[in-house]
Amino acid sequence: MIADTVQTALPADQGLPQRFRRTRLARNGSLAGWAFAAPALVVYLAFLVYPALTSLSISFTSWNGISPTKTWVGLQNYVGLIHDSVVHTAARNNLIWALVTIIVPMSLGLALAMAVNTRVYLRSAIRTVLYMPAVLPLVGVGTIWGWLYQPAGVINDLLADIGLGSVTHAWLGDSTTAIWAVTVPAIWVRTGFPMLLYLAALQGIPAEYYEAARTDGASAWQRFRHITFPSLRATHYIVLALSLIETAKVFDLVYAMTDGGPGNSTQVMGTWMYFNVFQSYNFGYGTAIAVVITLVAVIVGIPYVRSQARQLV
Amino acid sequence: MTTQMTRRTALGVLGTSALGAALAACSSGGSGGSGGSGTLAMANYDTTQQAVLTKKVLAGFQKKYGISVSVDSLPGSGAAIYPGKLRTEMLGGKAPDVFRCWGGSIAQPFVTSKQVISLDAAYKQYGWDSKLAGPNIKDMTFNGTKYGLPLYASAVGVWYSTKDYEKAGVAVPTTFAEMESVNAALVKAGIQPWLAGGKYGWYVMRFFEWFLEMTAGPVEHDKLRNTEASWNTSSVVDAFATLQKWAQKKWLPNGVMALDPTQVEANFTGGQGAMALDGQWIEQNIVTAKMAPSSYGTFVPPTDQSTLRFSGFTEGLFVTAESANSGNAEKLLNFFTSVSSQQLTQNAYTDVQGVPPIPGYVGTAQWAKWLAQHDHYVIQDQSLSTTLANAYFNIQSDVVQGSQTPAAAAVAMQQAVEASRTKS
Repeated sequence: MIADTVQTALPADQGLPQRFRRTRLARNGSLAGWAFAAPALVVYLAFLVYPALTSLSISFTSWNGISPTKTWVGLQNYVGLIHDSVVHTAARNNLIWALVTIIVPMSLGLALAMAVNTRVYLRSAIRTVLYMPAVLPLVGVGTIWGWLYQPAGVINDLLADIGLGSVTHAWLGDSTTAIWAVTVPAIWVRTGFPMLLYLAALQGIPAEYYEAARTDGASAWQRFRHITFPSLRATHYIVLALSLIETAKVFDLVYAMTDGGPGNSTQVMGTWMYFNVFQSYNFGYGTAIAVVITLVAVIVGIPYVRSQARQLV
Repeated sequence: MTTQMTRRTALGVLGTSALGAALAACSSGGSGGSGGSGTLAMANYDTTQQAVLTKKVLAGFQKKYGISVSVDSLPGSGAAIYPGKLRTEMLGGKAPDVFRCWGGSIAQPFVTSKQVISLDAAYKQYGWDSKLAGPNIKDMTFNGTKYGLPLYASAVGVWYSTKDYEKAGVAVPTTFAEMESVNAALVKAGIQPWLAGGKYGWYVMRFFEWFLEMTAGPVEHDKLRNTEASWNTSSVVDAFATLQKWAQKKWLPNGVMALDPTQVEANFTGGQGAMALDGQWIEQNIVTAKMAPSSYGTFVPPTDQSTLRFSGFTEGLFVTAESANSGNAEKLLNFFTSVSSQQLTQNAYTDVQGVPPIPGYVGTAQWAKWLAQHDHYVIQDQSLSTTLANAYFNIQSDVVQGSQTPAAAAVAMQQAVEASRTKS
């Protein structure tokens, strides 16, 4: 405390013993900040940075995950990714997943938010019901939807009951329909979150804007186009950024519903990484996939993190 | 000055404590090695019911030798998860002294990575060769060295509903042509011939390896499984063609590649299909479902070969290289080879000779005789490397869906074998 006072009182380092001379950190007043952050930093370094760097080093080996020795193979695993046909399938599926499970939930979320942002009966209950799928465990969701999709399951039964018997299909048993079928529960689960964010944002738009627009004779579409949509710009950005990060991590639903099959037709990068690391003993190769997934998530996450940082400054 | 030092010290202590607590948390859990000469640690995948019986055996072991054994079970995890847990424990320096595992390519990585010890000396010391059924010891033998003690011998055969067979007016087939006639007759009678689940690949694989045993014969089939012969051959094409035919004729269930194999046993006892290509464990479901012994039967899948073989696999016990008490661990393994221990664990498909059959398990008793009479080939996903098995599952899926011709499938399989060789 005494030392702090002295340091603050003196304009320069003149007259101070060596140990009291202010470093650049001390001048910025950030030494204490670093000290306070140290416990969290230690945990962060030990449990995030160190494992991440270890994983990175493993990705340059052909380690099988058990052997005491790790053979350095350089970039061989990364070159292997380029030639791996399952990686191509997984990358395509990740792209399909990103497009479908971002665009549809965002659109539905916005539509539902606008619908429940009115004075409807049981408004709170409706909001809760619509958000509920978002809090369900994904493996449970995947298992239940897997049953629904069975050839003799509820979905085919419903289609037959409404006269669409010819459309019934082994949705998850056909490589051409399986990945699309898996995106449906993903949409169901992921619509609640954007709805909640849009709902909060909609309530922040001043009612005067709409009153003025109505006075000027603006139609409902024009009010949406010129007031609602632009006012939600920041929310669009947050939802999009978070959804992009989420899509890079897709694993649970695919694993629970199809296990990457039939064949490898529904593999995504996350499941293919898992199979290589935990089932095929290709630890080095699987870790290389994990590094790529991380890089993609970081790249798509940078704009969001920067925007959040700007808001904090 | 004093205050600053105190703050630094406090922060340092706090940070160190947090790290220490976190690291301490990391060091707990898992099977863990033996703590002293009077204790052993064991890992297995016993079900809750099996765990109770295993504990009774271990209590007997403690009474006889004064060595207590702690058990860490991962029930129901299957070969997909349990080996990963073992691997993590070994890497963390917490390997159990003894663990249960499947043979073949599932145990292979533990052997090649020198995580288990040779049991050759223990086999001689305890005379295990004469206690166990010979054919299954080979499933635990790698490069001529015995690394595991086989205690569970499983075989894949046909389990059928006698009621459905009677309804369709068919008898147990003795040739493959008769088998296909049975399929056709069951369809005609409005009965789904086979139950199967292709979700993880391995259930449908059982059909293919059966067909391959028929089309290639035992010698060529073994060469193919050991990747010593080209898969781009007529016998492989014929086996894939048969698989495709069975799928297209709906002898396998509609949308089979999406069905979960864990449902097959329940669906069989629920009367949703006439046959299942399953191991003796299906009889546990049958007994639990209180099906009368006369309502179901079992037979060896016909292959039309002069040497009758079927698919099988072996599970057993291994001793880890990390074990500080490998002598005691081998003593424990030997304790499990006694008839009384096998009876106590109610091991219906024991590999130990002289164990009387469990009352009520008619089919399992029959399979014990067949296992003793006939040789078996190691089930395909434990013969092939996991990478190659995965490539096979992909090809199999395309064949079943009709998106790949049998000839193209044979070519693709050989390409996968060559790619696997290049990689290794």
